[in-house]
Amino acid sequence: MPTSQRTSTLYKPKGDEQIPLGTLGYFEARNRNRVYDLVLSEFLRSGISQATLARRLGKGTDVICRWLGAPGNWTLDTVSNLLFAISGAEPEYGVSRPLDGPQRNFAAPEWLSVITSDSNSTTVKMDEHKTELESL
Amino acid sequence: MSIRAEIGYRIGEGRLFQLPPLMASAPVVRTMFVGEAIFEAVTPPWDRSPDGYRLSRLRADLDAFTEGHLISIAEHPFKKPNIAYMARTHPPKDEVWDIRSRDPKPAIRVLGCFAETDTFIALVYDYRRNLGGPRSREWRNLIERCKAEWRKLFPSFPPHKGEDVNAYVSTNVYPL
Repeated sequence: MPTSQRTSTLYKPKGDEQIPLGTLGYFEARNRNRVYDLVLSEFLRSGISQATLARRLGKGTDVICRWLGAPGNWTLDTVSNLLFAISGAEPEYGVSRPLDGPQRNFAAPEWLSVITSDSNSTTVKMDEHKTELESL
Repeated sequence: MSIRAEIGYRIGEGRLFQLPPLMASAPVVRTMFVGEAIFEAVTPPWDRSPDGYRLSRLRADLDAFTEGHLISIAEHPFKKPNIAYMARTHPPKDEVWDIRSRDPKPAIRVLGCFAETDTFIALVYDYRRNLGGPRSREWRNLIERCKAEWRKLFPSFPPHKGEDVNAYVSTNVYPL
């Protein structure tokens, strides 16, 4: 039994073919979420308050609150400033090619696989029973 | 029968869909199931339109949950910092939670309930601009729609209820 009826249509760029806007949007948001995760994790790990961070950067708390609220207007400089002000940190860079990576082994939780396979076998048994009844 | 079995049946009926991260190589750390409307909205291919683009970004926000990213959760429906990824809606006893996809504008809200720890069932969504203030009729209607969807799917099971944030999301969570 399928647990996801439609499969991903994300694919690597090919030749001169235009990349779908949605694919670019997905990777844009994914990148922002990962950077946001990085900065927010560092902020939470540091234990400093938004007020302290605001003072370190010479900004109002409203600006810091907005910056930590969402990465919408962040620039590379914002990321650098936030990380350094939080803990003297800087980002590390590297690239990965996730569409080249091996597929994960488990897309669904184990309990779901068991239930859906049980459900399939129940369906098979029902079909067999129906055939038996029809043959009588 | 357990709620897990019910989920399996609803998937078999095509009324519920698992939403693993779109990136096939990404790990599945938490589990999300969605209703048909959300599944259609966040599954590619998306239209080459502002709506399609926005929904592709919503998908990335939902994948942040399933991939196990750090997520911030606000337990108080009306006193939540703007950094909250997820917030409880009012009234808390309804156990309806809201995933807040804030960027870019227009923001989108996805409402659902937990079936168990780390398993979220997302049932309805709307653009934030359609919802008015936090105590508006529009918000209330969306919450009621979510509750009605839950009752249709799981008539014998109330949503999961926990003592604290970790009862909903076990790891990599920041309570607000």
